[in-house]
Amino acid sequence: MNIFANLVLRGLATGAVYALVGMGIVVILQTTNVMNFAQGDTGMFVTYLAFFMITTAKVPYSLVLVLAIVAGAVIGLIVERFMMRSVRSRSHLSLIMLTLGLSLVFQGLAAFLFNTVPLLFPPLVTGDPVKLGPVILSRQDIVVLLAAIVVFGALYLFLYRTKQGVAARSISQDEYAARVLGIPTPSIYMLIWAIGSALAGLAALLIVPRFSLEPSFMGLIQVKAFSAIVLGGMDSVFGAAVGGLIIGVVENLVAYQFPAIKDSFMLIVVVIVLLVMPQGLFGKRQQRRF
Amino acid sequence: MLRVDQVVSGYGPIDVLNHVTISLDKGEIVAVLGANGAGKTTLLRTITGLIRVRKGSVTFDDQVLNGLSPAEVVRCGISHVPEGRHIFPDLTVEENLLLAAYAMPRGQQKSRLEAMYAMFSILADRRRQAGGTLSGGEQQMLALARGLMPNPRLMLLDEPSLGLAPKVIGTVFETLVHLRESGVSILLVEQNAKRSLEVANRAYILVTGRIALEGTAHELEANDMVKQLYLGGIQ
Repeated sequence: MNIFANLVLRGLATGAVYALVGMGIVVILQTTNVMNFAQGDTGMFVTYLAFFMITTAKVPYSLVLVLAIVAGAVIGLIVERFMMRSVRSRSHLSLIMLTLGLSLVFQGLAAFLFNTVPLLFPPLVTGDPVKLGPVILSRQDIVVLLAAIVVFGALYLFLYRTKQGVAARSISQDEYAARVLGIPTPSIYMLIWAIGSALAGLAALLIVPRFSLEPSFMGLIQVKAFSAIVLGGMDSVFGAAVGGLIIGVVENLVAYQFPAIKDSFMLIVVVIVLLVMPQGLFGKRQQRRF
Repeated sequence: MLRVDQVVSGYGPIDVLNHVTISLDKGEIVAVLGANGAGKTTLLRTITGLIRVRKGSVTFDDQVLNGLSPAEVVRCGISHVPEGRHIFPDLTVEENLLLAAYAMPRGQQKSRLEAMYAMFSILADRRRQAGGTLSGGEQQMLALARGLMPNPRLMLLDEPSLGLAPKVIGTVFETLVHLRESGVSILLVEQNAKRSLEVANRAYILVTGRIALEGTAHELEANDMVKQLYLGGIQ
């Protein structure tokens, strides 16, 4: 029982990581209909910047966290303003290809600037693991879980309680109508890319102490985050968050018995879920427009 | 109030409007009639800045609208109710309305919202309901209310009778007359020529991107060509 509770809770902490990356992807996806394949590597690149802020410039951790979020947002603004905007009216597929290319650019740039030698990222929080009744959690895991909850709450408030958020939801449903009503769609797109990419930076920074920092470290995590949003229905922050947690827990349980298949098992589960429920667990929209 | 002067515009390599000139005075309902593909919707899109003006000019109360974004045109006092209503299906009635007054300060938004609920009581009853769950007639009312939310001086209406039951069409056109009395000028694009000429002061007939005929509603109703082509033959 204790083992099971521990596995589930550790799984939730891992799942929170996927949820964080997935929420960033889905925020951009649901407004712009663009699957951002560069989400993970935007975060990776920001994490390199953070690494040198901490080790070389000795910037305090809390400030680095803020700067990383800002750096992610700035990257998002640049990507939308100077890449997405000029291609948007031409072809939807090229927008998606552009994000794939961007992912490679970030990896190449990181390898070129920072080398591919894995770096050990200092832990976010130090101290002994915390005992919560029968389960033991590292402080790092607790921070990630809390961050996922805060980000989910903030995104929810943004999308449902602010006029920019409601406007973003309207664009995802009918972009033409939004323009007809006089909603400044270009600035909403910029805002959404800034938010999504800021989340990329935050997520990667929270995750990296578990791994080692190298140009490819977000690769597998991004695949899991994609699985999470597909599982969650591809159209809601809620779906991405819950999908991420489910994947984290199942993966951790499987890994306990059969460590070798932990990554592939979850993908098989996703395929089976999609066969039974093509719209995912929480998806509303059955048909997608392209 | 509104002057569209020798305007050329279109999509890609094709010019849809060829030197179209129309005008509208304050307090008027002006109808633009024409068949499918005549360029009626293109005309409205050009006025609101969804499509670029290629030649000519669009002026509204001495302000040139050429090159303004749709958001800027709305702020000048022109709203556009698109063909097919385009209600946001998953947003509530209230969210649909509030978005139409995006640039307004919050307090003003609230008072406009209350004004809309007073005018269209059915929308007040359905304020928390998703737009996609409304009936066709209710959606058209919501579309009209969205058009009125920014408190426009001129409203552009694209095929408000499309796909509605005859009784509902009657309500829509009554609303237009009522709006004119309250001081909103209306540019009405319609295929339903008979109904439009009943409420309009003046009308233009658009044929393949050119103005073929213009005059008061009475003149056009009496015109033989109009009778034949747009009013269903000899009456």
